[in-house]
Amino acid sequence: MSAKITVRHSDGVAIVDVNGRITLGEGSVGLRDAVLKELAADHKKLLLNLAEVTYMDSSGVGELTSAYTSIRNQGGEVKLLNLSEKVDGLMQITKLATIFDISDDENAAIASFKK
Amino acid sequence: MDSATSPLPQNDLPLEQQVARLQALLEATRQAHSTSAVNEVLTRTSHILVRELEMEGALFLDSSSTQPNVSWGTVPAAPYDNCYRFPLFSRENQLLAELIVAPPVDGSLSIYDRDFIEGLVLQTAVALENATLHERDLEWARVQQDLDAARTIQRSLFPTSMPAIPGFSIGARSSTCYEVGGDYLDILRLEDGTHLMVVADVAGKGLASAIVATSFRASFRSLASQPLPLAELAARIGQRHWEEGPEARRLYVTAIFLRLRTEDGIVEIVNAGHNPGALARSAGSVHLFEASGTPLGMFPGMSYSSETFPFSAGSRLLFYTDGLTEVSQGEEEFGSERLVQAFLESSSSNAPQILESLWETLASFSTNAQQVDDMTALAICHLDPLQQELATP
Repeated sequence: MSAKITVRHSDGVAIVDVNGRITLGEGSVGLRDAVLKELAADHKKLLLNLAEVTYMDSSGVGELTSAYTSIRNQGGEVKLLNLSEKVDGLMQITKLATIFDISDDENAAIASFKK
Repeated sequence: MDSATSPLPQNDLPLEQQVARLQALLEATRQAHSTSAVNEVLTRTSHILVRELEMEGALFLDSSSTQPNVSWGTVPAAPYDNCYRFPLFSRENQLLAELIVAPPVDGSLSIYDRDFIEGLVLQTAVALENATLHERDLEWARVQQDLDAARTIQRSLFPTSMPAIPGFSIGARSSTCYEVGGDYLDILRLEDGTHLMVVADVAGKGLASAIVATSFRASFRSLASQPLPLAELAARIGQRHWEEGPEARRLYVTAIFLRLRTEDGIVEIVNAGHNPGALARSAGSVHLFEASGTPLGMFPGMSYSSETFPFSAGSRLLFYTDGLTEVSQGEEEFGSERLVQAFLESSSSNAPQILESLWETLASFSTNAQQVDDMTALAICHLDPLQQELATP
């Protein structure tokens, strides 16, 4: 099963809800496409909601950082929301928790984007 | 098809003619089936239609557009006015190709001709599917040969024997989940007498990760010969990898490096986004070496810091890739806590034996399920005098 990705917009922030697995060949391309589509539409504040990500492997981590780089290179901002225990563990081991802005509260995360 | 469900028009023909038509169809079928090349199947059927059945022309349109169209005789250009169309289906009811038949100039197809063509099309579809599968088998055999060669070369790059360092027992083990993998392990003796070791894991698995692992090896080996602090070595490998571009950055590398000074047992470790290395001291305590920075090649200009500590006699070290901790039983992963615990509980001071026992523990946890990720580990034991005596053959 690949990941299901939907995008909502709130207060100028594109909230990308990822549901399922982000692994090699599963979900990773969908996430990449969704991010590029938002950037093309000039939506440069992205909040990746990973609450429903059931599993993520090293390829999924590669996709997250690739999305991070694409967004930052275009002058955008990206934050992560609601990490599951598994994803949080990966962020800690790889020290990516020091790179990404991670939040557990959607409203607070939306408010924290630069106006 | 129609011919299978409707009453056979042959019934109106005299018996001799019915037999002759069936014999002709049998012969045509034999010809279509007597080759295993896709193009040849279609060419032979086209010949039969034009030469034997005296159609003006026959054209096969490939539904996947992977093969060039095959034609014989004269067929008008698309949209094929006044032509007859016959689809060729696979056993799974997938459209394989479409046959366009241009009837003789003097008229349309008789019901007998149509029935014959339908019978021939059914047989050609079977022959075409078999030929397609055969070609796929050949292609697959070539890919398999390539992968076998890749596996052989990758295995030959894995250290075949551990350095014999007096007072130390060193063991390494690696198993890939596909033919080739993205885990990497290396041990080098440097000119200054120290030993440099690394356990690394390229994101993903399979061939793409294996290619990146080889590039990592080249980088590691060329920089290892330079007198660089360990943290600087890691940073430079990471920078080189990042400079390879966006595709390489997605296949970043987590790595844990170690430099061992054997004369006084001082060890220096740098962890770049890798699973923590574990040090088990003789007194029973454990220290974990966490990452000091993100994985190599992910971001430019990353810097790392090293930890230096006395690796006293009786202590043991374990470096591993996440394939070990992600071995699972249903939804439950083995996890790093259990792995470190198993390492502590294996009281052996023989490094290869420690790894063998870890592999057994993991296999039994997963009830020998198929491996889902590459698994690699390095164990180093600094032997105390008693252990050294026991280890001496």
